[in-house]
Amino acid sequence: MKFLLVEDYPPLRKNISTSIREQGWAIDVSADGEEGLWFAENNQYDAIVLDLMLPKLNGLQILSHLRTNKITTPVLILTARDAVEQKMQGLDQGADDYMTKPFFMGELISRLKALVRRSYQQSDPVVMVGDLSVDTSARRVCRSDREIDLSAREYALLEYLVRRAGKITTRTEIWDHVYESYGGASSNVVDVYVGYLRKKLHLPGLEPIIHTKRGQGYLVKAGSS
Amino acid sequence: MSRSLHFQLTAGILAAVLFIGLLAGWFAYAKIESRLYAEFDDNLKQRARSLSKLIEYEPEGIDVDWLEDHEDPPGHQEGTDFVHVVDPNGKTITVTDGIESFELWKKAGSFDSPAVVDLTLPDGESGRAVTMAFVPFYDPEVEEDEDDDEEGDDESEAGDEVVIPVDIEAPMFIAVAKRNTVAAPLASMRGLFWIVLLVAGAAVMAAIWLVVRKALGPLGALRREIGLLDDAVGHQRVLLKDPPKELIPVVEELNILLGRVENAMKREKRLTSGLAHELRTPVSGLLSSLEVTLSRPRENDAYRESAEECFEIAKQMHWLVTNLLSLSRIEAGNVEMQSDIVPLRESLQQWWSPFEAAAAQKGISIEWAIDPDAKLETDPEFLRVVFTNLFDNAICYAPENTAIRIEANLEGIWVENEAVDLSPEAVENVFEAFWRKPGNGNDASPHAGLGLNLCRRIAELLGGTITARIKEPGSIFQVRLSLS
Repeated sequence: MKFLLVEDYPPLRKNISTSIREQGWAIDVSADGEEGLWFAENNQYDAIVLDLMLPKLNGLQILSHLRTNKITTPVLILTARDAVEQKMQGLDQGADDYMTKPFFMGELISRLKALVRRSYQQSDPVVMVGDLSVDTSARRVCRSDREIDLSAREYALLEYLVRRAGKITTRTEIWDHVYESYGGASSNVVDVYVGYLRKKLHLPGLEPIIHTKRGQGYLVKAGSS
Repeated sequence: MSRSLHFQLTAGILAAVLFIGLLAGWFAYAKIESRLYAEFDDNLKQRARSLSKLIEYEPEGIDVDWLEDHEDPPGHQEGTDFVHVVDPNGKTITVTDGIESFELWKKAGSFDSPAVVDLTLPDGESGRAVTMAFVPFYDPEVEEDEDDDEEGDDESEAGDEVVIPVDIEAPMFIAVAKRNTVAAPLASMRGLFWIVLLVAGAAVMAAIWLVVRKALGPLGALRREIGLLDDAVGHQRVLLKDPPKELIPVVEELNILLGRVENAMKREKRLTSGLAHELRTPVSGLLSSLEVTLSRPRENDAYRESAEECFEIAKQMHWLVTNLLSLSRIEAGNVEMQSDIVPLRESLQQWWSPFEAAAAQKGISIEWAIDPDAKLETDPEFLRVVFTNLFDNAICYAPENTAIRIEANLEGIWVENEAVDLSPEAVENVFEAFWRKPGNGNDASPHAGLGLNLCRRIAELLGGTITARIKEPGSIFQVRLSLS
């Protein structure tokens, strides 16, 4: 999963991005509204964490721009203002969720997970593909009830792929959704990590889950493609 | 016990009305009494004078005309009219119905100015008499007629013959008394007057009570309107429908006061909500830092970094709370002012020194233009708070690698820094509590926007002013403190 954080308060910016990265997710970070809007319009994100009181362009203006331009990326508003009017305004402008400061990081992470599930129309935190089960809430991966240990990056990649199970996912999409925009990753890195995943998931006696579609990308599906 | 306006007004007006009524009544009564008695007395005096004309001195004695044919004087009415004539020696010539014992002749006035005497008549009724001295007519050429000579005696009322040597100069006395027919009606009039006064007084009192109650009605309405104001006064005002002229200024002043209360409550609310809002940001910083640091085992460096970050945040909160406490104390009037001579150059440089490191980090240099003799007699601690906030503000908002200039002379003290995107309109608001430059996210700087507000309050407390402006060219933000 890849997220965008637009927050001008340095400690929060640092701690939220650390927390998200430690989940194995990718996160782009911006400290002002103009740059944040640019990021949101030019990259793909699974959700945006948006502070309202920002320099140059405030959160509501960013939201308005996004929705006017039909960018439907889920947005979670983060702000110190908890007046009902502000909440209503944010939600009416197109925000998907609202959290007031101060907040607990655990709650932010859970809400982001819920937003992602909703955007993939998967209300169940456990995603099943054949005998592969990915518990996105506990970050547990099992094949035939055998727990498989993945690194944070491997898990992030797998989570993204299983959410799109049954659809071909291009390398570009993987790159956009799993790696940070300035992370310097290349499609080769994508192939390498897919290789690592296959090694851990395609256990002897078990059917392959991740299939390569030449010239197109990868497909997660139970059984042979 | 507090006074009742209603009672006071009613009692006051009633007392005035009764007093005036009594005065007028007494005056009218006195006039009537005087008029009646004057008339009565005039009649008596007329009668006395008329009767005195019927009494003559004759050589053989005093001749009382009516005694020739009648016992009683003309016009006499039994029981109501009394006459007593006395000769110069005090001897009764004629008297009716026993008023002799009053010896009225001893109180006699003159013919022109008879004396008036009140008395109780023999029948117990009240009477009034006029008594005067008079000199009867005497015609020495009156001849005796043959009848008088033949009879050889004088007739008198009493049957006694009085033959006295005639001293034609000696006055006689006549007293004429009548039943006092004025006293009774006057007494009735007095009685009636008191009754009327009492009844009218009661009626007037009731009328005044009602009128005053109605007149004071708007006070009750005002009280009710004030009672409708709830604790959250807010924008509420007192509205009196059709107020009397006297209450209009009261209502106006009350509404002005409510306006001031509203502003004070708004200010307080702004301060409290501003503070709560401002605390959220550093608290969220602390919470997030600690939560993330503690979420998994980390290297020592990571813990150290987190602790340092939390320390910085805690310092910001400390600054905010300290400023707010200072502000509250000043607002509450809970401050003790000291007075000392503050040498400006020395003090300003001393107060700047804790900021040197922060300035150096941003590449900000400092220029001093302080008159070496510049001094101020003021509270040194409060002045320090002002400049600490001004320096902190300047370093925060000055762009990197620029200069801050501090100038001081007898005219004032200036702190200048370069400003970015600060409009002249925005400058008007810099001293408002929790105000931040528009477009500047409130989380970016640790400054709660209280610093300049506090500077203004302290400047006012010290009897001075603090102003800010944009100095062109170059968009320099300049704050000037001027203390008298």
